Amino acid sequence: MGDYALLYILFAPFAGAIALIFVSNRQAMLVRGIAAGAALVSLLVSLYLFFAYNHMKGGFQFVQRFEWSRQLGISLHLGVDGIGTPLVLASSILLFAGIFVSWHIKDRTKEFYIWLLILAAATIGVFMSLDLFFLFFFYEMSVIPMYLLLGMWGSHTKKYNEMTDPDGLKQRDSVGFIFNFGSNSKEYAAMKLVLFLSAFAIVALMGILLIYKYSGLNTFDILVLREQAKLMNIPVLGTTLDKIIWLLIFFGFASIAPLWPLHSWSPVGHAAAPAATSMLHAGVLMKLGHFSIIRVAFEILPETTRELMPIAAVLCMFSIVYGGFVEFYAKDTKYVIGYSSSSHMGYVFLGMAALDYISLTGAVMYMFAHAMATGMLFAMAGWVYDQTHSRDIPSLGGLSNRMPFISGCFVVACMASIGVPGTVNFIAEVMIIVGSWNKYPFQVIVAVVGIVLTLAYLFKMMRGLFYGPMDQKYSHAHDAVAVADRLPLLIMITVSIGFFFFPMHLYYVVRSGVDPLIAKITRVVPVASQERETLGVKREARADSSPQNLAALPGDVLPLTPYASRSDQ
Amino acid sequence: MTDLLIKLIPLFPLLAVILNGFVGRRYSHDVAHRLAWGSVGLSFLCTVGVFADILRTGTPHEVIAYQWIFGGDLTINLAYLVDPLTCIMLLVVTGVGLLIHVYSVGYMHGEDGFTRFFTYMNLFMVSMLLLVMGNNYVVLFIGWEGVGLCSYLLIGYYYDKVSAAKAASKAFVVNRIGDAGFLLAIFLIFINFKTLDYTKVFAQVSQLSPEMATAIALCLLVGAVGKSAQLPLYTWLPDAMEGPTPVSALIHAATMVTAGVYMIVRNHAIFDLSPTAMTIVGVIGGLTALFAATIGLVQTDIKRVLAYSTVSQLGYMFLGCGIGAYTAAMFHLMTHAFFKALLFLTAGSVIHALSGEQDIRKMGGLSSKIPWTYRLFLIGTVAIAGIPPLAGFWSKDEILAHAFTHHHYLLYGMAAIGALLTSFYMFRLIYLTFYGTSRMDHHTEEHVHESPMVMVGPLMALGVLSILGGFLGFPPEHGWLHQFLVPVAGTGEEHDVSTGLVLMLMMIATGIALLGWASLTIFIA
Repeated sequence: MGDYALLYILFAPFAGAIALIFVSNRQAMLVRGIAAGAALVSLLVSLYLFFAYNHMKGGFQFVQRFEWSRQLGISLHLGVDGIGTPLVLASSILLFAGIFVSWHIKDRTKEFYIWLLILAAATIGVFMSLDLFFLFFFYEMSVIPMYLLLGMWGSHTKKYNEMTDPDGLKQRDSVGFIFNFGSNSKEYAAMKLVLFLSAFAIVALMGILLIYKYSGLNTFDILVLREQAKLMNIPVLGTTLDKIIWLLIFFGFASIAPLWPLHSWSPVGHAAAPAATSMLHAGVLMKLGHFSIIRVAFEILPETTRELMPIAAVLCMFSIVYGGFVEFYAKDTKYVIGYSSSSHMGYVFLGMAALDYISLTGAVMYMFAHAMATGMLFAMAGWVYDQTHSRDIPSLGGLSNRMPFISGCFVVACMASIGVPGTVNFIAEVMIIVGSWNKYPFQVIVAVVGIVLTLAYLFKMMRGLFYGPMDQKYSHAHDAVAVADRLPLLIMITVSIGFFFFPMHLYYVVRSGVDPLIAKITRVVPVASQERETLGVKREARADSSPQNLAALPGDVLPLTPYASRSDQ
Repeated sequence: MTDLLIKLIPLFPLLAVILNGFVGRRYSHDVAHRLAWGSVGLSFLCTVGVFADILRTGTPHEVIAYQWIFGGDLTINLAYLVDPLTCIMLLVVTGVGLLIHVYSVGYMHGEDGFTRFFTYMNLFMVSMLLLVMGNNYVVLFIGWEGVGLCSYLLIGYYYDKVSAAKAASKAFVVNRIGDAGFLLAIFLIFINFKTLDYTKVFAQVSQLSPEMATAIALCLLVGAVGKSAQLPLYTWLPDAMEGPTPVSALIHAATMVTAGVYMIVRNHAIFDLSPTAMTIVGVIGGLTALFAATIGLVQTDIKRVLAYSTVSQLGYMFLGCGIGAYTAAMFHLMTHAFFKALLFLTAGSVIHALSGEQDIRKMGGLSSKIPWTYRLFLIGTVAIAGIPPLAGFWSKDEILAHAFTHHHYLLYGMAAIGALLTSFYMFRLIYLTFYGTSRMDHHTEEHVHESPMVMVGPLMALGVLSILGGFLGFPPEHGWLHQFLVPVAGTGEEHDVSTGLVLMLMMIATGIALLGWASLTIFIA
């Protein structure tokens, strides 16, 4: 199957979704079976992909290319490098786990699984797109199912249920007055999320179209653009074009990441979404932002990235600290986890901003690690909600009496989330922090203190849910006993702990993707700082330099020899 | 052979964790506890084997158990280093740990989460062993976090008690504040040395600029202060007494809380470069020793008195580190592990006898009802108060004498007053608990009983250690322990101290201890 691995991974969920259309909703087991089967195909092939990826060779592998429109220069060009591979794996693990987490959905099961599969497939599509058009296409496609998943299978927040006047009518707050539904309702959350993300997707689209137009190559192909696009030094609006494009792309994609101050859709969306959606959403959808920034901005505009990436270094601090403080006072389990995700995404931005081999490798590993940790947390918050119909931390308590398995897993998930040794998060966090220290010591101190903050609120939640005397009204709550209920948690825990003990393959794979990228970005540091005015000449001089030579040039740190030879085409 | 033994030391408890954790529900409590203490016992035997080897050859062992991360610019292995310092820690951790495990079998008998308890205890042993055996900062940190996690789980063992849950979260969060400092220290070390292995770091340590050495030392100190419950991060330790008593004895007295002291002694090469940091260590230690002792005077919960006493005694160890008396600090760490574990376990025995009562105002007159517990508690009290020839006297006096002879008179004064208070509150505890008339309610009094042999046996062993442990460091400054630790802690600069002065300081220390006792009897009467 080797060469077609990516197609299997991408189209298995689509095929599953199409197959589900022809199944009756009454055959619930069949529906679940098809969904699980499709996800399993994806998972197994991604595992194959992950372990078959040749990190000695590096570069884009398993490449598939189908011409779509020669006139416009669009083709379905798929391929994964060291950065995409682990994220594809994370997506398919979370999809498979998510199928089982939503095992007990009774309402319109078939439709739910259809949308969930499409969501996951679209996410996977982004991680393997080598064509800007399809990257954007899959990106938008992943947003749309969110609307339906939230709006139909989501849940209101506690306040919404309380906002009922004596006549039984829902009271409207100011937002609700305009849109005719309460601002704590799931409909509001769905709308906010989709409008927000779509609006910023347009911003990113503008950047993509500017690249397309001004590169003059008549192609959307990232591999061509990154070698040949000449976007520097075109004066526009008092600055240069490349900076404008970079900013459009960065902020367009950073909204889904979500970078402070563009995060406000995220906790609301997480809180309203059903468990499996939250898992996929926080686990992999958020990483679309970082990934797209790396794939588009880092690859095509390396020099501009070096100049402007400090923006991220500043904003990431706010993400880390702001998220942490809000969470500490949040009372809703999913709000806490949602804000914790957006706080943790700040660490990824820090790792990216430092533009260092170790820190960027750490950032990618952190994306993978965080997917598992947050997936577990959301899965368990969903389980608790299903059992108690409450996400309000003060009204819960003592649940470890009723659900020892879940509470045990919850401890592990909390530990993973705060990066305690024993989980792959620890390795990733340490790499981010070690790698960024030289460039951003202040941010590193903020990040390390931020870890304490994360811990404080996660443990507060842990205590609120599972410790203390149990309320009798929750005496009917069940633990996860059935295999189908335990399986997703066990998978995610195994992955999280397993990669702590055997991190080397993951490390090498990520490193093989990071090395050429950082080499390309940091290579020209002296040129840019000393001879800015002659930059155009310098660029001409190295325009013919082949990728093989790029990595071998002296940068801050010499890349390891295995990755020096990079062959893409 | 020795390398294999070293690798086996943490493996036995790990195996027990896996068995008890995953299939523990399928077999009886008897199997579970045998696995638990048996595995620690095997670790102890391995430790003794390694110890014998080190004693014979005197060469430290470096073992790489597993190649973990090996990138081009970042190599971290699961590597162990067993040198005399590690040996002492290993013996304390596995030896005292074994006794406490055996004791727990009796103490936890019939509890709901019996297997869960032993799983956590063994997990703690694994982490603690990694902490003391690691040959680089990452393994140290893994153990460091692991013991914190187990402490969290064990403090919150009675999860339906709100106070226990709160204490558990508090302990973990406060510890993590310290850990943030520790993490920063590790990063600074990595940035400066490009490696995290002890041997390589300590070999190049002289290249550090004094400012950087101070920065690293202070960051390490933040970590140590959090873990060892020193000012201002001491607040979690008294609350941690919500956990079962064997946990308090093992984690919050004998082993985990001393990790900070171990870490400072291990990194003394860095601390030695920075007089500022050393002064701060000493002052924090002195203040904590004095301050915690004053709180201990007025506590009414038997375990909380002991908790504050632990904080105070850890202050002595920090003080010892701060004045460069590393061997004395390790010596006190060791004797403290003996007598504080003894005190906690006897306190547990008292609580066990009184069906869970911990308030000393509701005790009294127990000496005749639980004679063995009483005698052993008395041994512990005399040991901690610093009355010769019991263990506490030798180690505490050495720290005090070192402070005096090295002209740290202020610290000496703080420590001396602290010693007076220690003697006072410990004898107060014994008077209120065991002497006088009974203040128990009728119902409790009927059920007072001596603990079973499985509990008293380990207590006796600890009692013997508390009596004889001090002779490992006899004669002062030239004892066996000092010779043994020379490769790690160094000989220290030779100081011309007349025997007369040493003897006088010993007499003063004894006088202080007796004065504390005497003033209590006057106070009570």
